Amino acid sequence: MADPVNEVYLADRRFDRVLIANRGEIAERIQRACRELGLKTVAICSEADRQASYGKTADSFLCIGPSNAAGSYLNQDAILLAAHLIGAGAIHPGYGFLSENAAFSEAVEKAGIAFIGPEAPSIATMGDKIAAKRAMILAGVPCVPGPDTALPDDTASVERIAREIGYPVIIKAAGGGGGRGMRVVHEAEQLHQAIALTREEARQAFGSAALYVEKFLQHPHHIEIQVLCDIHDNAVWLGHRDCSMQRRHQKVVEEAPAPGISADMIGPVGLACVEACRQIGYRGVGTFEFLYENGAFYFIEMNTRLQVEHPVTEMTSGIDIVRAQIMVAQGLPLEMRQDEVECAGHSFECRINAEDPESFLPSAGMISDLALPEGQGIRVDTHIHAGYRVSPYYDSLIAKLIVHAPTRADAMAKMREALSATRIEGISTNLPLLRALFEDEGFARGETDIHYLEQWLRQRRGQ
Amino acid sequence: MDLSKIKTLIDFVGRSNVTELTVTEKDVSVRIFRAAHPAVPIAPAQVSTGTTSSRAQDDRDASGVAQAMTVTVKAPIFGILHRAPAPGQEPFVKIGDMVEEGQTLFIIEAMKVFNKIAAPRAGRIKQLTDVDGGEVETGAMLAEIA
Repeated sequence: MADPVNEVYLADRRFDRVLIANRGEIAERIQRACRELGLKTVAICSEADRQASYGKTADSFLCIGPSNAAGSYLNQDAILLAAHLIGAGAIHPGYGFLSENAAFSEAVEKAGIAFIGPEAPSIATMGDKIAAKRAMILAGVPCVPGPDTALPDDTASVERIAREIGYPVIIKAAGGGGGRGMRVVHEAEQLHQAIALTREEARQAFGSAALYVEKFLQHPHHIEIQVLCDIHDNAVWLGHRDCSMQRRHQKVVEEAPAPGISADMIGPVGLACVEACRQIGYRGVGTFEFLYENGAFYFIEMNTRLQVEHPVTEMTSGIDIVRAQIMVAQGLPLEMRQDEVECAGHSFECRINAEDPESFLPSAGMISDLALPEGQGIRVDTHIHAGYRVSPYYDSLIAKLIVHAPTRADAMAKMREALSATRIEGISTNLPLLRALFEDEGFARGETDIHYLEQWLRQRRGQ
Repeated sequence: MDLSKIKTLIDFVGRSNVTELTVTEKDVSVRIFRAAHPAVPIAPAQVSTGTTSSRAQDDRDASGVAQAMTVTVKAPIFGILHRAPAPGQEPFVKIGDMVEEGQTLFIIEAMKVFNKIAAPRAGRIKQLTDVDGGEVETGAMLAEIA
């Protein structure tokens, strides 16, 4: 949409105080970006997070509810009340919690507060996987073979659709995402039971029984494209990432750029993503997720928020994504054009989780001592410190270790060194697992698909 | 029931293929069982290193007698203790309930992972923690089964 943005609207969007509606490392990260922009910050917390370090450095710090996230970080009314009380002009949702909640985006904007993220209709479209796929096909973004409509009820039609796509196929819930609400079908005989089960799960978990069917790819890589859009019809993509190293659909290591993918191959896909953003009037930062197999890209979903792994793109592009996100929320035009975006070197991110490296049982509790790596090309995004008590109420991510070096091999060496210099005492972490992974030859060759880590773990257990 | 009679019963269980024997005479009950496999009271969805009550650990080598002993179920991890499958529902167990080995007694939630805490052996719930929906430290007493 190219309609002129009037001055009154722009003046309305300016803000000088941001409420950060999140916790942990991302609350710390967002606060840093706000301070650099000269904005005042409002930190919020649940009862479990009263000791948070970012609370002490924020201009205001409010406890908005009980430890249980439903009463605090997911409590829209409490967050809006806190914003009004302190006079925040904007709310940054971070990731997780309310970040992809269309109703929250709408409620915030209706309250006269800027939502640092896309408008509600964009979030709603991308949250409905069938609607998202339709929007992508319209914009020329390559999608996984399969119809952009919900599965019909009559069995003959469903059988015909699956046969046309070719087995194996995957049945997915339209309201799902992030690896939930899906089932692989290898042959026609399994089709009807798989549909019945997935439909029931979808009804219960997502409140919608709508399903769709796609070709199931056997050995894909998970590739993402980061986009950044302002409200003046400018949109850019900031390069690509590989997030194939996953366990139970949870990313463990991410890197930029994706190994084995040339600029010629990814270029047209990046431009198609930018075009899709223009067509849907997208605002802010976003990520297009693709499966990549045998030289082809297939769109799977769009995340309409800042992502955990955004730092690898910041390291290679040199662009502060959170700063840019806040600036476009203020109505400012992007500071760069596409031809000014240049990615250099290679970056890795390790997610350090409070969990047992063998059993993956979560390990909450007190961090008795801590040593974090430092040096050129090393970045640690975290909220923990010696004496910090890791809460059992939230997810297990406690730190992100990020490195940047001229080549992939250099970056791997730097990560090995950074991991060996990292020490977290008092709780279990996945550090031993990460160290072993960075010694793995298959990973070093950059040939790892989305099943690699699970297979690697099974082999290790078998030894 | 005198000691010699108990000893006879133990010998019987030891020689036979019987894994468990309960004999009641007047007001006295004696329960004899073979602890061939150590009880693993935690059965989360994922593989668990598990924690056992201290008594269950002790019994591992003593493949023999456990007479009216009390097993303490302790929290294997730090987390949020739930006594019911979902808010507003009936608790898994109450004081005085008889439980089967492997029956779910609690759920400990930690970082979005829900770990089922199961009874290490059959018996009657003699004591229960007061905590419900709050945090429990590793090793905290959750229940006693007699």
